[in-house]
Amino acid sequence: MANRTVSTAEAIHGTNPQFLIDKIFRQRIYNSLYWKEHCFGLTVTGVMEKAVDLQAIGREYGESHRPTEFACLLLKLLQLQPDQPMLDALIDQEDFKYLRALAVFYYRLTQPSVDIYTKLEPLYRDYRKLRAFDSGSMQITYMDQLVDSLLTENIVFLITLPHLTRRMTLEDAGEIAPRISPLDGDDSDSDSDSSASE
Amino acid sequence: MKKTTEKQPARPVATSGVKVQRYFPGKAPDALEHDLSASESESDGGAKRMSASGSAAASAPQSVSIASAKQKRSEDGSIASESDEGFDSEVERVLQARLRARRRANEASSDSSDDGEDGNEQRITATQRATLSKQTHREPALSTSNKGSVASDSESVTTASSSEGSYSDSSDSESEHEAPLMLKPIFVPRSQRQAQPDMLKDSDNDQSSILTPEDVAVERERLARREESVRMAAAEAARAREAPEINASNILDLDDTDDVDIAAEFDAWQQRELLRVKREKDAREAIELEEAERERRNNMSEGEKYAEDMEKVRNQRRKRAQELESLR
Repeated sequence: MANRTVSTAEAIHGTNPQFLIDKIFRQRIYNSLYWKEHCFGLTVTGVMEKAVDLQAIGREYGESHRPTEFACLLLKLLQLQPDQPMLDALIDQEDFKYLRALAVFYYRLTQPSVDIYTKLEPLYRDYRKLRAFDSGSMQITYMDQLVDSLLTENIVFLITLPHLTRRMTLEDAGEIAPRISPLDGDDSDSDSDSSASE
Repeated sequence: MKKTTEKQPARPVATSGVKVQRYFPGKAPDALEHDLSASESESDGGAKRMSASGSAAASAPQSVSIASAKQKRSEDGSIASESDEGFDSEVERVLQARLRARRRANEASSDSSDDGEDGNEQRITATQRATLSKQTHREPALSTSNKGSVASDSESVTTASSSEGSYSDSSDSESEHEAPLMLKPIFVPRSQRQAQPDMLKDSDNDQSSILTPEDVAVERERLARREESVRMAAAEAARAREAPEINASNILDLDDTDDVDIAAEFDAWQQRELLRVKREKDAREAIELEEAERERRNNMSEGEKYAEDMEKVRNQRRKRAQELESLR
């Protein structure tokens, strides 16, 4: 019961949105303590509140490969399928970087290619630090780094990302303008617009 | 109470009169006994048929194969039909075939000389001797008494050798015509076995104390591995001390506060962004080059393409040869 996708949810990329995370890892999340304790009966608002307390991104941590809270909340979002305005708001907000990271990841998993490029590329400006669990150990990465990997790689945090049409193809098709880097484009705006982290 | 019934005389049935070969452990292979008794009758019956093909057989005495024997047997039809009890019948067939071949050779030789009969008898007695010696010495070999066993062991060894000798005799005299008869394996208890490793082990004791170069190499390798593991352990410990691993408990040890040093952070970001831009530019250029190349080749004729490919391959080969030369 607690692990079923919400009944009003639409299929994402042709499947149940929860299936975007592989079965094995999904099961581990369902069995994890954080999920059972904190993610039970959560709404999107609840997820937001939990995400505010996040301290790291990544897939799993420790010797026993326990799923991170980030992963649990990601799966919860997939389960709940927040609506579009809510999602946009979560990405646009700049106060909580881990919440932003969570929303960005969810966006990459669920939205169509053109929207992904349009929405996430402005985040190349955000150079805030993030703690990331990567193959057991933790490192510092940056928001723009995260966005870059999401836009260019196939697998991030061992989660296979849905197919994203190559930018060049979309450019040739005329759906997107070529990317203007914050460096070249608007030099006046190139100072950071990030706020202090939590 | 057992019912005692009178033994009825056997009713004639299809299978009556058939000699059933029963197996029990310790039984001598049938074929020898069989042949010893019925050899005469067989050879008489077979000889006439064989004489027709005798010349052929004599000319190719070596090629007494089981196949030809089987063929003869099928012609005979006397034995093959009845006995089909697997191994025993096989042994029997083989031995009979060999004996028949031997007889044929004797026939051929007897045509030329008169020694055939005697040779035949000699051979029979040789085989008889072999089987008899085997049979008589099997019991003593199985006895458990020490003296008896020791004696019998030597006896069996000697008989084996003697029988082998007799075999070799027979085989020497007619090596062209048949393979030596095989000895049936006799079970020798462990206490009486001459363990083979004894023979292989060196008699002088110094062998074990001398270190061969292989031993030295092995030792050295082992030491090297031990050192390596110690070194790795030390490195691990040092690393743990210097940069303690971050896990759930000390997640906050890794600092992620921003705006500590805005300039530095901005520079780092700029670096990253530049790399990304460069990467995109390179990708776009590569694709454009590819396109141009494709266009160009499209517009060339077949001959021109061929010439260009050959040139390219030639250059490649030359370059590789040069590299190899430089390495040498």
